[in-house]
Amino acid sequence: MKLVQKLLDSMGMSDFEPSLALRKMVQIAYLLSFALFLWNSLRIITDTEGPVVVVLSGSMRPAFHRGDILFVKNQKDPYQVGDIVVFKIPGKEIPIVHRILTSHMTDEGKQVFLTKGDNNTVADRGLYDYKNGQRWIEKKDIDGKIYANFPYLGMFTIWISEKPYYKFLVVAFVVVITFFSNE
Amino acid sequence: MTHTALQRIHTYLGVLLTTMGLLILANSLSGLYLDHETPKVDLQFKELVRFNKHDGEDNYLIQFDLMADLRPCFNWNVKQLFVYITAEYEIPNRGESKTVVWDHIIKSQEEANLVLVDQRNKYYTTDYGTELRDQKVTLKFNWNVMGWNGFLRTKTAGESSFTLPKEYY
Repeated sequence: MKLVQKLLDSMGMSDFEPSLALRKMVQIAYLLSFALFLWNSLRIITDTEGPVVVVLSGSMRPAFHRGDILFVKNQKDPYQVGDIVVFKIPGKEIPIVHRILTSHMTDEGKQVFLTKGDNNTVADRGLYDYKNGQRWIEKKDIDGKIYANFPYLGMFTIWISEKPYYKFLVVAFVVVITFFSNE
Repeated sequence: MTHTALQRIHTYLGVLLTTMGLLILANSLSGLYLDHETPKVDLQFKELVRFNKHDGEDNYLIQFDLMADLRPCFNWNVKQLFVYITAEYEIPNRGESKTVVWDHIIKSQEEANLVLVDQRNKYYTTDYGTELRDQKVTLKFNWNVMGWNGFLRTKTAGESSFTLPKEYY
């Protein structure tokens, strides 16, 4: 019983008060929903599915390494050769971040692109949906363009996705910190 | 109110993360201000080596000279310069086409003085179709400033035009 009393003291709850415990839980719910609000606001402002993405492969080395984070924003103007863009191939879930190598206008007035990773020797045609004859990507396949980068911060996300129990550890850590914050 | 170890850790982490955040922001923004260089670039088309049609697409091979001293572009935040030469042209009633003829990654200031003589394409230059006969093409030299962190910027300097012949080579 003494141990429980000590625990409650350090959380600022000398007697166990249900209303106080409830307030703390509301605090946590507020924190988490605020984080969600920030993330979705970023998605609206940058007009992308992922305003911040983590680099997963080495195909854009030495500029970007696995674990770097990249900032993405969509734009109404046409993309240009030289832009680094985030795009998806129909049927494949993981987005790719490569540089635009070629851009043409078709006879139907559509703009088509060919992409290539800086660290790859060949362009991305082999990655496209060649079974369905896809030789180019279009603006609709592009989620946005990279305008800024930051190293290392994404390693955290990679660790979490590779070892799911880390996710629980992180959430538990946040909960514990909030309970012990005494505000 | 007593300050437990956990409360201290909480405050410490808060200050640490806020300060780091501000420093990172200042670091990224500084890159924007260190960016006023106009390096000397001289790009010159030399020769058309080959021009024919393959699989319903025109394609050509050229040789060019390049002198580009990008050493002044390096600063403490620059990780590399991705340099690329584009070939662009406009087809009436179709629109603009642009493709990379040659590219290179400059990883340090020591390597940033580029001198190329009679350099050939690194990539195939093909059209979306067969519209290239008697077409004027402009080569442009560009570089993407890529920092350790912060905003990516693209600059261009130097250009050289040529016209493809009316008949295949």
